[in-house]
Amino acid sequence: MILNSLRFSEDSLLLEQLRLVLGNFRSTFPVVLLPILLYWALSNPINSIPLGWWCVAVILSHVNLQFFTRRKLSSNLQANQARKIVWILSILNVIDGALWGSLCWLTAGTVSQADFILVFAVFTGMLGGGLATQSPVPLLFVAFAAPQALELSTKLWLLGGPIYVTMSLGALLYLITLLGQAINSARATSDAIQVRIDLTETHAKLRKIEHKQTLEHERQRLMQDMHDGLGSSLISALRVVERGKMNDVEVALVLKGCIDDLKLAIDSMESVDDNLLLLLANLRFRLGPRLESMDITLIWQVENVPALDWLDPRNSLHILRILQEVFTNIIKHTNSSKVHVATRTHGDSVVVSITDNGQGFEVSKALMSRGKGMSGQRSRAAGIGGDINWRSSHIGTCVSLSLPIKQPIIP
Amino acid sequence: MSQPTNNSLIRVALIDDDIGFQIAMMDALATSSNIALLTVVGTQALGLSILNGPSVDVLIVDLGLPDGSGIDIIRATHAKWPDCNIMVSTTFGDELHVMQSLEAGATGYLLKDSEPKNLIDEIRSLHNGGSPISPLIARKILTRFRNENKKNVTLNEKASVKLNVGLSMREQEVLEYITKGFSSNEIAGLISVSPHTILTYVRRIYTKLKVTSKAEAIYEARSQGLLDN
Repeated sequence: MILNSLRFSEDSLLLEQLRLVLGNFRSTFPVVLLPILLYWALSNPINSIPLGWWCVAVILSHVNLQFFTRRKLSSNLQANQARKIVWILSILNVIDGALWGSLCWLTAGTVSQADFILVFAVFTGMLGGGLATQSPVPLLFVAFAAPQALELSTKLWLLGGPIYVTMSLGALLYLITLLGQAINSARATSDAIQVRIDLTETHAKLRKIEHKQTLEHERQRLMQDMHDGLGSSLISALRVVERGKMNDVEVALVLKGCIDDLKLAIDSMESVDDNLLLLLANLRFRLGPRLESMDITLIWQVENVPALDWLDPRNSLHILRILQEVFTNIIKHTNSSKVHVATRTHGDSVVVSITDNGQGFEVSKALMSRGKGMSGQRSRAAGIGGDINWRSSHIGTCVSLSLPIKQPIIP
Repeated sequence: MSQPTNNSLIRVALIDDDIGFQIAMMDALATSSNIALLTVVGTQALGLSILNGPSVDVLIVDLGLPDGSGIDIIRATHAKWPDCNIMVSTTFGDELHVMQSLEAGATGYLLKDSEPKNLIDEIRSLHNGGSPISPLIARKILTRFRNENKKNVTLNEKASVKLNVGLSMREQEVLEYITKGFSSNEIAGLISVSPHTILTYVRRIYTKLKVTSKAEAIYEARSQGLLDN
């Protein structure tokens, strides 16, 4: 079971564990001062030369590890490098641990028993600190701790005597306890990392699905619009032309109408950023020339209105189609010379009103009889949460499209 | 080098592979007194070869040519004949194609299904220093310059290419009116200038757009080490 926990996780997980260890180790830099303090505390004429060399060796080893750590952290680590780096780090840790462990061989017997307590304290500190730093990857902890524990235990056992033997066995017990801690901690860390990795994967999958759905909706939307508008206009025109009942001018008009339909559909796909006026501006840009060619003057009396956050391509196109039909009716069925376009805020709605000075019509009669036109507009308006009504007299007609500022949230 | 024209003749060249449009242009321009359609070709290769001949005042180019993109012609023409006005002929006048062309050096665009009278008016207006615009394009330009301002705040001073070609208050105002649907005549009335002035504002805005996008491209290339400093 212990061996199992020492085995490497799969690469992406191992990389994250390694990153944690490297990050932890980076902040242990102050340890480089410890050998100097120990030299100052423990050196005496007998051991000063070996202890001096030990001091240099330990400092060099620690600095080397720091450089290694920082270099790896600042480079862009890939998952497939993780294994190799862990092995290198293990070897470096074995060397570092062996050096720290050799302190007891250099000092036991040459320093007083009281001073030796300091060495034992360093040992327990190193192991405890090693646990904190390297527990995400237990192998690294073993590489660092085992040499020290072995060196300390053997030296103390060889020295003999009840105190030293107790310390020797104590060191081994301490190692085993910490090993258990390391394995537990590693398991907890790797579970947390795994959860994070799974979550990222799930998010990516969800986004893909959403994207597909959006494309599908767009496709259906456009097909429906083409079917209802362009498709039926072109087919009706074809029938009439085949029967020879349409002259060139009329055909040109039908084709122009279809081109306008197409342009509006394409424009509706550009986002208008919740800006109704931009939508109306675009409508004017596309249909203005037609009105001009019929000598109809357009009077633009819009005023700023609140943002409508539900103006996505689908709803934008519906509004464009409703208003396009209003303009088409004005051109076809009235003798208008002036058309006012105005916007205003009315309670929790925005109202677009289009007023012409044509001959007017009987609203109630037309609602019942005039083909699909007006009822079609009614249902389109209702479909986007709005409402359309007509007021007409012999001096003109006013069409008002009322749009809610906020759409109700569908449960 | 194109000579500055006095009101006499506007020399036009057309590069478009759509025969129908070619005929429509020829018919429309035949009726006008001072516009002469000098050359009509249908491929990118022939289009680029026009640059070896005498310059024209207005060049109308289609982006979708059978042997390549009209964008290359726009760039080459803008480099060789800086005074030539370049219009891109477009089916929908949609944002993407127009913005691309403006950034390459075009100063206007022409809707392929325009009435003959409008074709003539657009060419005349362009030649006189005005440029056409649509609400969606105006909105796109406003957004583009707003993002530029944000970028300028985060650029460090070492950048030797400063992207500070911003819009003036007046230009922003005009663009905002356009996005609300007002015509150039109406805007002229609202800010007390002539309608032609509005169109020249648009022309200036297009020039700034081209400068900005060129500067952007240089900055990007420099920061990726593609250009030597």
